[in-house]
Amino acid sequence: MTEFVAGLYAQYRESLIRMLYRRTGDRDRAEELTQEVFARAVAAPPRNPRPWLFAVALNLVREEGRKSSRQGRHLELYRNEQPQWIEGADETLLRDERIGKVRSALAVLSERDREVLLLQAEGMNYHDIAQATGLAKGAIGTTLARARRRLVDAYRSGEGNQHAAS
Amino acid sequence: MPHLDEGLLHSLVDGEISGPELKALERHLADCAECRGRLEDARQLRVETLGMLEQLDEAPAMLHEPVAMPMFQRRPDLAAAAPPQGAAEAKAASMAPAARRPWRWMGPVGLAAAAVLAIVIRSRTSDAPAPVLTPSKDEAIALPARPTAPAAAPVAPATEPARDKRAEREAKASRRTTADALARADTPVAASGTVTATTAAQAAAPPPGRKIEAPVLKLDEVTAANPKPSPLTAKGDVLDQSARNLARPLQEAPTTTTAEMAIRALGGSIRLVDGLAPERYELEGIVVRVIYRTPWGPLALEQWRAGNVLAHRLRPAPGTPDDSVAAWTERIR
Repeated sequence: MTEFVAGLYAQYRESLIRMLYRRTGDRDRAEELTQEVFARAVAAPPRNPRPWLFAVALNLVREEGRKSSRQGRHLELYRNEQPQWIEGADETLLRDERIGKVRSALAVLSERDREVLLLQAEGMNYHDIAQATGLAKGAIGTTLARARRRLVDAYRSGEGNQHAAS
Repeated sequence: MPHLDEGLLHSLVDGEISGPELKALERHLADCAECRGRLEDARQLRVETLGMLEQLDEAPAMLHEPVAMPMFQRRPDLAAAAPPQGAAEAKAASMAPAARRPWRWMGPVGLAAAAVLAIVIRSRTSDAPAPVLTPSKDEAIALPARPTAPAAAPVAPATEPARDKRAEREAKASRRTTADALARADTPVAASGTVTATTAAQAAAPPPGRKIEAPVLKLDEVTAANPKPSPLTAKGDVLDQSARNLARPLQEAPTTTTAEMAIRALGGSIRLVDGLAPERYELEGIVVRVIYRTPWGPLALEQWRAGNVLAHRLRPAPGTPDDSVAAWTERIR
């Protein structure tokens, strides 16, 4: 069991943190949530680990969002990391603007579309995405098509920025 | 053949179609300029969205530093449990293409397994850093349901006296908290580590009586119990948390908690339904609920520690088919 979970950790930690960071925009939360995912894997090693780990990670993000809503806090889908150094103000500003635009566009998508997009970007095949999200495998292609088109349209039109500002 | 569905085109560019289906699509694409154009659009969309997501990975410079693993740093004894750096890198190299991309602010993957151990060790000990524990990695991962012996005597590393003093202070505080919690309860019943083993079935259907010789305790009896501090609880071990829970009124509202805290509340292990991904964990008194999402509503796996047994019961949402309940029951691990 030690080797099994340690193997999962070595294999999927990086991918989980990346997906969670893309999803939350908060590196510390991504780290914490990944640790929580593996704590659960230690408690009950999953039989089909890859979709299980990502499903738990996404559940945790959703649960966190619900908790924030219940507590009446302002729900920030994406909390941008604030750089704490000056590296060339122009470059930094441009990059932050670009990242902010992508995050805003991503926020326009439905939760399900966003999750499918993020999972596919981690190299997961449709079978595993279906297992992680509960969608039918046959629906993944359509979901991805819609999510990709919506993301690109929102990015180009700046729709996400208006959405975030409202 | 009608024009290809957009979902099918995206499945095609994602490499999800093979065999005879692929051949049929290729034949159609060879004859249909419109679908070829749409296929190219799908390909462009795929590349563009992946590029957009990769932009999110451009983290600030402060994140380029290796990610610190405080627990690991505090626990040099766990370093030996980490797999060799080479082995971890070999595993990382076998990851999916997307996961192999440079991830500039990622910490060294070589610490991975040790960090898992650190999580587990932390789940078994008090909130304070506990540099006195030196469990083997097998012991740490196995999360034994019942601690079998008091923690080993402290062995203070000569190079870190200040940290040990702090840990000692925190351990004392932890013991005081436990003692206070125990003193507040009012019924004199022992529910300490002296309880002997019994079966899970017995614990799930607790018989009457509260004798030590018949160690199966009812949920409400355990809740009302006033366990005397045992050597185990006094050592800041996982039973500390259980003892605090015993002293907590049962009627308090359930609170959402983490898997780590749920495991601690149950004394080091937890039951789950194999094949289902937990949505959240709730804690109410000594009862931990693992909540799953099902098409019929939330499914709760309630569990509590009775002596050295982890009792449990499954609470499906109203309207859940019996065969689903039976299947989940069989998959409780």
